[in-house]
Amino acid sequence: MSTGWRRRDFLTVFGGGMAGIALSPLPWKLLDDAAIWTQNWSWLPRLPRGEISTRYGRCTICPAGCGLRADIVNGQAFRLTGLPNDPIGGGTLCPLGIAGHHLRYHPARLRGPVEGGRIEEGGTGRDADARSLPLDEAIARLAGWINELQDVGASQTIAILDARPGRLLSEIYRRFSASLGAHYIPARTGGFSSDVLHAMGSAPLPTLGIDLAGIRTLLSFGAPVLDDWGAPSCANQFDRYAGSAGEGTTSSAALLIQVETRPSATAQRAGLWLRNAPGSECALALGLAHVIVHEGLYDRTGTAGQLLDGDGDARPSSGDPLNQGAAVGSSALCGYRELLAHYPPEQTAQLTGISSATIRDVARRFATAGPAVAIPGQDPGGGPLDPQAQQAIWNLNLLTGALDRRRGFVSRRALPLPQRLADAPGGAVTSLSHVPDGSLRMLIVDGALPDHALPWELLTRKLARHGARLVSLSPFRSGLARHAALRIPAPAPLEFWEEVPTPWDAPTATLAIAAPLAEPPRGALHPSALLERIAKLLGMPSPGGDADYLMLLRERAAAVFLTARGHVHRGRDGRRVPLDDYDSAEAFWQELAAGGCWIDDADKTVARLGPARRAFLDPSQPTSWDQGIASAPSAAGYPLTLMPFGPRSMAGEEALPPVMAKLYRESHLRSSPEDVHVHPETARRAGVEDGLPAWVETPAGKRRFQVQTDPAVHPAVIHIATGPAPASFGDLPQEEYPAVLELLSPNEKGVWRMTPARLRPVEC
Amino acid sequence: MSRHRGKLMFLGGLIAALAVGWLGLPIVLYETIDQPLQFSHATHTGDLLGMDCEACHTFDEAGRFCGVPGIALCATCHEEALGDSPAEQHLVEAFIHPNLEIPWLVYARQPDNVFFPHAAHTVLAEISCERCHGPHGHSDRLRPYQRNRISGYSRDIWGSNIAGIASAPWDGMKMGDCSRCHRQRGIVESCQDCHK
Repeated sequence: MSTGWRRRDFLTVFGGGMAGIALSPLPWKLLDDAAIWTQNWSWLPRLPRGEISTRYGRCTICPAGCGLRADIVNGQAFRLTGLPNDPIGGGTLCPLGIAGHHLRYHPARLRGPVEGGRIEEGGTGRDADARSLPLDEAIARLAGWINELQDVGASQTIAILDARPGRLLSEIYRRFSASLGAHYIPARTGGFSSDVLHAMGSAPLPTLGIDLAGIRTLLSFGAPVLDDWGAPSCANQFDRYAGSAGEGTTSSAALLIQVETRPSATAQRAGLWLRNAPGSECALALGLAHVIVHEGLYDRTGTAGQLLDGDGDARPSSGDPLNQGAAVGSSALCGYRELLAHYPPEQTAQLTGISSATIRDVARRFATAGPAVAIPGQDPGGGPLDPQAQQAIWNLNLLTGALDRRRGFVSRRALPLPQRLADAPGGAVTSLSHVPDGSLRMLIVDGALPDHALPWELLTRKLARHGARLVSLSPFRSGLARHAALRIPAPAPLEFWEEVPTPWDAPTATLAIAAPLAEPPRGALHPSALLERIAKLLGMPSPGGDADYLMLLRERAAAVFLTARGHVHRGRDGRRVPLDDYDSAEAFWQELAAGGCWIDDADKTVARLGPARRAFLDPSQPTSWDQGIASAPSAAGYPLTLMPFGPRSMAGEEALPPVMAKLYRESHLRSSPEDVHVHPETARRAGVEDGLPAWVETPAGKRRFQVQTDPAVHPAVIHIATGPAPASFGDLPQEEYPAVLELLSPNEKGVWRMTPARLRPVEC
Repeated sequence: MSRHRGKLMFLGGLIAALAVGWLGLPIVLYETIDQPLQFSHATHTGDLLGMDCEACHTFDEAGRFCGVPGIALCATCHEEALGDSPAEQHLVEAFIHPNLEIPWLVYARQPDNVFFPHAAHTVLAEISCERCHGPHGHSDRLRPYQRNRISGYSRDIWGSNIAGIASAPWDGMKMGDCSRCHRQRGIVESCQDCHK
């Protein structure tokens, strides 16, 4: 017998050893520890150990500006929570706000200026060519570019796009633009547009807020009132509507009536959902007005009564008001009556897909179960309604007196400016749609995170075809900054003193201050300081009146203090303190800097249009009222209509707090922007299947999406969310993202709600 | 003999591997570090002083647990040395007089991604300190800290047994241990409860 070790012996011992290892904790324990080891890599941000302190402030990710409490260790915020009973946030923070302190670590964060490529032929930016450059050099570069245009007398080809109008920074932008002779363009924001209403009146209207306390009938044309519309505390007023589903239109309880093609969260929770044919909001509003006027249900004591009945004392004794245009003698009103005559419920039913009985019921409810308001909604991703539809909806408010009483739309006072800015008014405001196509050679884009989407096509249309430069002040290399020739990053949210001016929906003026929770990187510069330095280099007057931004904020607080109106909601304990109780402007400022929020007294005046004959639809305008249908631009071979939508502050490709936004997305609370929602029958006809990829083609291009069938979707429509883009979380290179915004075809009015489209299966 | 050679070979390999996995791994995996100072909980909580845990391990005005007390609290009693033990001398000379914090190695320290509210457990649910920390509050000496060389955490988190088999309710502070206790008490859990 041989005693030597044979190959078989080694294998046997090895087999025994493997069995023993498998029966020991060694592999499992090592696997577990290795997994934990990956959480502790040295380059991962780590929370410092130390004493925990608390500070109060404001979230500035979106314009609402909810109050927050920050828990801080060694100067680093590690937890954000809402302030109980905060007048804006209502005590909560949204998932983005909860993780707001993560934004500074976003993969797309810029820590200093970056020079990129030039925009050519409407193409995208070229990150491959990007290079970092020192801050001073970047400022000199931008000043040089502006100087070049000034020298050739082309200052009017420069524009500043303000992502969040209404701030003191916006005033600085306006003054800088005015000195330069450039355009100041405010971005679209808010949950409804009152631009059309302001244009309808013969006299200037005050700023409008909305007061929904006590409203019994809310007729929303696509506004996401039960989802992410308005400041949370305002939106909470709608909670009572959520439980009224099924009560019908004759209920005396408060009722939300949602007019929307898409089965949105608001539509599904509304007391009554009117699923209208795409683009038929105008026809429906006219049809409702027909019933209200025909049955004499309009408010005879207010503006509508004065206009439709003539003098308040000269009311028609009987008969159909639709045929009494001569009582006023206004051609516009005659035209309005003639127009409404074309929208009896039966005709409107054909246009809208809503039964004539429902149209009558809703019109009666809206006119008689008041206070009632109609909201011309605008979706953060889908954009505003067509101006015609907005005008028809505002007229519903005029008919029921919603602009003549302290319920619904109310006027509010403007925030006072610091004295040094009040003495030198800012320049004119230009709407993006009024900028001539191909006229801009330089566009400077503000760095605030926008709460609404802006299709790149809308901007490229305005830019000169050759040599146009886009300069981004965004703290991130995402969204519009992707296309920028020069990026000079501003501090990220919570890194600098910022102002929270009155939210668009607030019924009274408010002011809060967001104190910084962390230092910005050394390469970041606040836009106000940037414009100051450029103004100095170019020999222009200081746009901030020779004051830095913090000083201007203090001076605005002092100006508010001098009004001696309103009260302060204290951040640290939620107590309500009258403004009179503060000894000095400095004490008031300190309260604001500690998370306090000043709330003005209610403005007792109402938002009357006055003797506004122009307030009603004027069919003499060059518009096609005969159909009342805003249709997608016709294109042969595109049988469907693409209607995009998006959640507020996540409607585009802007950077978002990665952790919480990722959970938000994976929870399926929000539709993914990689999915296309279609009716099952539409999918069958197009030859595409649920869960499988399909091409969505429009005249602007094609992208690949995942099909999600839903019987609640209108058969003629496909819906795609505009955001949040995967790249918003730093997931994917932008090129792989199927951005629906790049498939849209905005019309000349800047409306992109509807684009002709078709579906095609992806060939294997 | 040759008939059983294969079985013996297999058994030899098996036993050696089991010995490596069960006995050798803990020795290699954990490094032993002495605490920077010896401290007797028993002296403070025993009959001599009769202090409660909360006397030093306090909650602040916001309800947050303050964890291991700072040197300022020690100094309220130990500004000058009490007794002549070497640990007492070391405390006063090395930490209290120069006003330096003691770099304690905390046996129960959880990863940064874990949020554990002591108030919810000890105040609201009225769970005793011993449920999770065992008889630590009555120990006479601080045992050496055993640090996992790979994960960096204390051995107390995994538990004394290398296989993670708990010998007592407080033996182990892993996520599974938390979940088990929650289930026993009928607490509905979600990820966000602890991982905020």
